[in-house]
Amino acid sequence: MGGDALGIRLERLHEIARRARRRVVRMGVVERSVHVGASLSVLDILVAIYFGRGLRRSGEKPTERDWLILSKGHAVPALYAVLAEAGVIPEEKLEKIRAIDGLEGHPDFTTSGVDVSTGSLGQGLSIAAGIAYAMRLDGTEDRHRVYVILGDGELDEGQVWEAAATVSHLGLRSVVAIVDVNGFQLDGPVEAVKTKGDLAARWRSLGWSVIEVDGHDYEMFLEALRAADVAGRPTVVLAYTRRGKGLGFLEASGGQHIDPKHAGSFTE
Amino acid sequence: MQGASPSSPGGLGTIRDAVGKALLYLGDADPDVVVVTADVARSTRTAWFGERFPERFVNIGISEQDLVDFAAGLALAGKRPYAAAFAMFMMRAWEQIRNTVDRMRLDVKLVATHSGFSDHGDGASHQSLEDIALMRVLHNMTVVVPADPPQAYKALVRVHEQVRGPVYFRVGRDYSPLVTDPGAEYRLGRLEILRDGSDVALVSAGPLLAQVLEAARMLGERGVSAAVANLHTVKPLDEEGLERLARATGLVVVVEEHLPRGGLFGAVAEALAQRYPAPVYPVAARGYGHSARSVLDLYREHGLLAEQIARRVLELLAGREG
Repeated sequence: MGGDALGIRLERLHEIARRARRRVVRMGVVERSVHVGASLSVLDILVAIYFGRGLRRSGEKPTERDWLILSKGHAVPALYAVLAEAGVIPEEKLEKIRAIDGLEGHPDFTTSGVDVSTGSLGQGLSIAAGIAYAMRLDGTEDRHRVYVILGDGELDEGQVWEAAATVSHLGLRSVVAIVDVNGFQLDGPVEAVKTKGDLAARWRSLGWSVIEVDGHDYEMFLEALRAADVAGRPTVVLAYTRRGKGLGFLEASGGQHIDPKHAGSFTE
Repeated sequence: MQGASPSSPGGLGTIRDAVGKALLYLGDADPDVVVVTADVARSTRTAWFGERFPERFVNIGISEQDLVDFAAGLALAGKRPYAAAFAMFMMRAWEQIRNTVDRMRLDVKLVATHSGFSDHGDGASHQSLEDIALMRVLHNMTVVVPADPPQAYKALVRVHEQVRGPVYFRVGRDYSPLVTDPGAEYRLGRLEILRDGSDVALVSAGPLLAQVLEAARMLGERGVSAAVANLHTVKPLDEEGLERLARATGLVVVVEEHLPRGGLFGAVAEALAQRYPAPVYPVAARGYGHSARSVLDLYREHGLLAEQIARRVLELLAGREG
């Protein structure tokens, strides 16, 4: 692919992301309990996977397709925004997030386009390992990927490290873990709540291939996914992002929720 | 190691051995069966499966939460996983079981060994006296507590054939005298009457049924006609069968290797309170256990030996007359 074509492709991803960000903010306006900050930090990662990389969504068997697990389930508005762009979720349904007859506040597998129910942090990587092992049994692990997206706050959960060891021990190379390193968790900056240590060293010590990227840079991020394809072992992408990315006042504060009067112009 | 035939299992050994052999049978019968365990392969007898089907066996290490969600992933991807651990430590993953396995109604079979007081030597940290309550409250969970080795074998095979969803399969360790007819068909969800009687109904499950049957025999010598029911399926509960028992006897005593809250006693009392309010009493663990050289020593300490059960039933009957 030549430089111009790549530039056009990247510009298209930015356009998709702009539309998706507006959707996230609209969801945050109609329902203030929505986690806008975390959704905006992870959004470019989802756009890159869905529209830069492409996911094979169905196969004859569940091991003949790609999987995406949003382990940091509170960022589900970003997933809905991307699924709306893909035409999987009708645009008008977004307004009904968290309504009794609307979209769930955390990923639920009964929603089309959502592979796995999450919401309770720390479980996605273990689930990904089980799916990847089933792919190995069915001989499909080199054709399909299991993407699992975690938050940096989520790494407090001990189960993440149980699973990190399992994935590495079994050499489950179809697993691609992505940590949305936005620096915040519910009660504040991640380091203020609990020491995270040297993230790259923690994963590397368990045998993972570690790639660090700017999580808002599509070119870098997609290159990391290509590197994961040929790593021959499980890869974690530490994607450094900004909570509230694209929404100036939220980005500055590192906040999670938005006041409708601040967001009005952004949603138009 | 050969898997016995499901119709006439013989030479099964202890109840955990029977589970290990049933898994061998299932491994042969269904290529989608995958067994996972948490560094208790030999103790749970799943090592036998691992020897015969090494590709379909994963030892996750000492990490029960990962164990349960790994099994969930296998089930999402079309496999039929069995996750084996000590009952007590499976409970460490209750939230994973609730939020991932049960909420998505995944076809994950939780094989919990060393339940109740059966891990007598290891003491209270290893003895599960709360697990039936914790599993029974889950919306989609099937809960099975087989009585003896042949029933454990047949029940596991039947569960595999009949249930596409989460199952908690609770067995003990070694103490497991034969109490059922090895040739009898296993009927999931149906109360099994081991002994007829008209004065009192003794309802129990698991290896403790050996003590309960002996208690009923002792009561017979005292002129008390005691029915004994094997409540091997705790959920879904055979409410009709329980109502019939309550109507026939007027007094139900639930004997269990579990604390008296939320387990078999809870299940039976909840059902009868709605269908046919009859007096229901527990004979259950009195608190945490501790180490003992024999499970029978713990039974004695908690009033679960046959003569103690019989004495308690006589007290209850006398109280009702008085």
